[in-house]
Amino acid sequence: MSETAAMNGSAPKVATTDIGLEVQALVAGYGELTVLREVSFAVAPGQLAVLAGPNGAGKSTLLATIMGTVKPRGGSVKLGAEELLGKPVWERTKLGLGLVPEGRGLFPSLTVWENLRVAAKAARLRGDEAEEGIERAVQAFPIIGERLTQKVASLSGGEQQMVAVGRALLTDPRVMLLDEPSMGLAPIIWRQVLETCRTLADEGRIVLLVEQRVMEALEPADRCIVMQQGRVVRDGPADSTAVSLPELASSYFDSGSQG
Amino acid sequence: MIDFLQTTEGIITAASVYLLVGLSWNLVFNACGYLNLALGQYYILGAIFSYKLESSWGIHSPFLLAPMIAISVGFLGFISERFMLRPLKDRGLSPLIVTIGINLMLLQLAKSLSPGLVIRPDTFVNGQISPGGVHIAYQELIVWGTAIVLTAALFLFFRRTDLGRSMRASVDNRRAADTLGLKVATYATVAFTVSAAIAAIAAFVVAPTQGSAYNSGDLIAIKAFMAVSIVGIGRNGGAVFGALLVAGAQGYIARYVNADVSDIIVLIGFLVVLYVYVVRSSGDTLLPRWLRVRKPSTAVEAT
Amino acid sequence: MPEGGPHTLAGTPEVDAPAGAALDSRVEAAPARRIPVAGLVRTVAVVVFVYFAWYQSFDFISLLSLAAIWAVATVGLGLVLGAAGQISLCQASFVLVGAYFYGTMAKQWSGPTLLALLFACVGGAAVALLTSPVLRARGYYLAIATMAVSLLTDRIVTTESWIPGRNTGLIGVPPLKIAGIHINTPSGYLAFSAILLVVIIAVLHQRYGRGHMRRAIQALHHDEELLAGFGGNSAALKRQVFIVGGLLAGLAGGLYAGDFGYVSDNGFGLQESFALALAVFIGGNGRFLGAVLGAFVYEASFTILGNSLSDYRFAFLGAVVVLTVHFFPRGLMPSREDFKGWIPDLRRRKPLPAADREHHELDPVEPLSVRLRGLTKCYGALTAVDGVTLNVTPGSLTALIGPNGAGKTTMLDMIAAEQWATDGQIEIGGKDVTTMGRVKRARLGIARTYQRLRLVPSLNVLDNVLIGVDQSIRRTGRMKEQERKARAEAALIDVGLADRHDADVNTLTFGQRRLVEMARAIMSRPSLVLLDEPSSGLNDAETADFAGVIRRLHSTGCTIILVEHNLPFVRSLAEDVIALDRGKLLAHGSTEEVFASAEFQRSYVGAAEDGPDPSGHGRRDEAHPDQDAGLDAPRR
Repeated sequence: MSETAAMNGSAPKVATTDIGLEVQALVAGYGELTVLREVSFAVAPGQLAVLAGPNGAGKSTLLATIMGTVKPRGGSVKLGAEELLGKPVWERTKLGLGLVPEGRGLFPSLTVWENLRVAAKAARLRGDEAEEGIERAVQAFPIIGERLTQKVASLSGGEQQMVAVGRALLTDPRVMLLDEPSMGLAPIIWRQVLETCRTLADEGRIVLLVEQRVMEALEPADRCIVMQQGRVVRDGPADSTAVSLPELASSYFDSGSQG
Repeated sequence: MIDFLQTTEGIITAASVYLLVGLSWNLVFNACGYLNLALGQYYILGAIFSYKLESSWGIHSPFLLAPMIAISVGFLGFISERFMLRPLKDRGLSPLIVTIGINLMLLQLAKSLSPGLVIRPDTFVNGQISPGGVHIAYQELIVWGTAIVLTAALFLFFRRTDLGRSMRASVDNRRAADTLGLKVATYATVAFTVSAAIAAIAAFVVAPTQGSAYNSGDLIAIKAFMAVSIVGIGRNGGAVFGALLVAGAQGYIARYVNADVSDIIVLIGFLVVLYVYVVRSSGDTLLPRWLRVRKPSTAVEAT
Repeated sequence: MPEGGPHTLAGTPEVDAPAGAALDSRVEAAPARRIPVAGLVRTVAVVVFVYFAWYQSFDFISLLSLAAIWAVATVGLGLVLGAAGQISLCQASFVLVGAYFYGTMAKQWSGPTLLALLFACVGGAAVALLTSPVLRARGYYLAIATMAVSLLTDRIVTTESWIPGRNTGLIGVPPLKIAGIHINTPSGYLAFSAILLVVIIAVLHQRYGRGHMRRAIQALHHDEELLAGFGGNSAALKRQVFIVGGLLAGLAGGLYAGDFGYVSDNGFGLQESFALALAVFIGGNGRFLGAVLGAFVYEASFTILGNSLSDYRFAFLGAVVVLTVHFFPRGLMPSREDFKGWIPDLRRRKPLPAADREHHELDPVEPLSVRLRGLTKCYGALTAVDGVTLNVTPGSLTALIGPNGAGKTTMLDMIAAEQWATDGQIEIGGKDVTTMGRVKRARLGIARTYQRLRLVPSLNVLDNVLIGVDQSIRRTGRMKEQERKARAEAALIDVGLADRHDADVNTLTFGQRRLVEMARAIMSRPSLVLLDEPSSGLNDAETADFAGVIRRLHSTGCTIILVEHNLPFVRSLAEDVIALDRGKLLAHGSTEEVFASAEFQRSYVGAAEDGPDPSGHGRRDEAHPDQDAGLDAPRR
């Protein structure tokens, strides 16, 4: 039973002006805890950037801060010239952010269609826009179309992942943020998700993929950013010859030289 | 036989009330996360208000009364939740205490507006039908109809409207709802308001059939809770069954054993059922394994 | 003081107490003296209320005597509701039962009134015991269940024929007569009840207000599971407190019956039970004096609104409680807290014993071994832990690691009895504990910490640590409170918090609170320690400190298993490592061995299983079984 994630051949839907995602000196945390300590990097449209690092490095917090569910303490996040920090979640969604949260963040007892619809409404899409968005998700993942009336809880992990990605596509976002999509997925399915990420980038979007299991993700990726203890310790091409397993492993296992 | 059917007919009426009030319990439990211990008073105010509107303001048309009652009691619910309960969102069991305080205040309101212990507003329509010798008042049919209509309306609301879907979503996975930016606090207010209105309408339609005592709200609310908690509080699926079960137990025991004892047996039954339910579903490891029932868990924290 | 709220201890740390504060200093270095607005408002409110009650009342003495009688009941309810946090909405029913018992013995059976009073106590306690199974339910369910009990009692009393004086009420109940003295005036009852109250409060304080009972009750209130995790029988404690509440209610009922000479169901219904609960909150949840004030408010509400509005007393109470919960969550009774810095603390405090210099808390223990055989845990279609078989060497310091979703915490939970295993066996110390419940398992000598902080916010640092020693005492016999404290202080020295023993846990930083949890774990003299992500949330310096604390704990020889994500930390600390991946055991060996293994490295950074070359795009992996998750994994 194969689950194809093939996109119907589509031209880049995103305007090709330079609207990169730029994170500058971002500081954020929870309560007394500071998780992000001046994180800076930039991703250009058409790039698939993999964000790697062990747990506790701050990867999820970074995505949450970009998305707006965590309040930052300093720094800036710009999409093109637009400053995102300070804007509510729905506004950032409207400006072009799409998030596939950790654990997918779907509503298990709602049907696939209902999940998409709720997300569309949460993003303040009008009726016709919402329809368009759902259509877009179905185009990207035909399996969604086949399962529209099924409860999400009854789908397999891979199918759920596609619903989650499709949901993020509702607003035709310029930036796709994916938080550990490999969790709970069989390697076969995971590879298909990676293919999808590549395709999304090829359409001109900015794709930021957070993963712990990063080696497999390096192949389709353009950039590899490694975080540790809330800081960026490596930021460069994802060329698999440039990043070796032992090096990456050591960045996970060793305390490194940064204070 | 006729006697049995007559009793059954009365049971259906009672079950209709328990169903509506039970759904009200669930609404608040799901959307707000606590139990509204004042529900019995929102309920009885439906009857009290209708009586007052009829006797003091001379309004008799149910088409006018119904919206007026729904809006006024709903408004009371809105005020309660928005200003007295919402600010206490994260303070443990404080909402419970506040709902008790609201209960007492509303009870006083009910008492002040009620001329005597029992009030009985006019029926909307007089008369009855008597299929096969079993008397069914038109008013009772209205009660049955109201229960069906409101239950269906709630169902449609949650299935077919965007607000309803968003509310279901926020109950289903609160974290994801927050991530999407769903307005969970507003949903809580909406749910509370609607639940108060529904309970009030239930009393509004049933009071003319037999009269209601102004202090009977709590007992009815408890029985409705029992009806709805049989399948686990918060799940609407078995509400109809539960309502019929509770109303049936009460009705048949009252008729065939002893009217006085029916309440007692029902309440004791409730405590037993609750005990068994809590014990079996606690699922935590304070219990020896043989007593525990394994619930298929849908929420997973797998690390 | 935080009210019975959520378990999180989020709070901004205040400025540290000045260094070098003596261990048994009686006067704390006071922060800048703020005007005690809250305390003043409370005092004024109480004074005004009492004044109006006196002004409006027809017979103030009579009011006071009734208030004193009800205070006996509210103090009991305060113990249940306030201290133990169990919502009980049927106290008025228990009072009624006591009244009936008194009436029956004194009037129907013409027994001596003092005996009747005793009988009333027994009656109240018995009914409480009878209804105590409802305590299984928690929070809202318990509230509804006690409401049902209240309604049930009301029904029984109004309809059952064997209730004495059913239709008219029991009349002609004789008042108390003690040693020939009749107590039949309001002032007489006032005096008698007041004396009783003082005795009761003294006894309750003696038993429940200090020492390990107080800690157990506070823990029960805030975090029932925590108590169980330390081997405390929370169910038994709840029942005990509930029965005491019933006994006191019965006593109040007896006094009431003797005072009025008349018993009927009027005035003891659900509204009254509601009002009593509210009164306890208004007065001050969890404090005896608060309960007394609450009783006064309850009784005075009859008259304070004047004769024309006396009907509104319940509504009045309802309104007051809504205001109180919002603005004075601690209740209206002013407390010493409010006036800290203004009133000299004249309490005779036993000087804190010096810390146990010999550090007996770090005496060697007999370590427990842990053996797992085919341990499996499934959630529906998702297999979180898949057939893990291993032996943990007793006395070793083992880290349990693996990428996200590997099943680490689930495995720890199963060892700690937080979760049942779906399949397989767990042996601890040679005993098969697979089906053993948490309390029993904890008593084998297991201590654990959790990902989130679990301290009791209403206890200070030393008391929180003492909860640990309360557990170990259960296993080894008795120990005087002073000695417990000495050891607890030694444990605080072990973790570097010697000078904070008196502090409110909310004033500590996150890292310090973690250390308090470790001190607590040390105190329980565990033979097996389970730590769940101990370094999460700690900065580099704190992490290093923490490693030292763990080593110190390990010096007792106990077995330590810790779940961790911070690999450098693990590398510096652990002797052995258990690596999991997707629920299966990947490796188990010494730290260096495992870390160096390519397979392990691959599992962490996600290379394809069939080779170190990660450019396996497009190749299907046959060796790896399909492990589709059938369910979403929402993190609640």
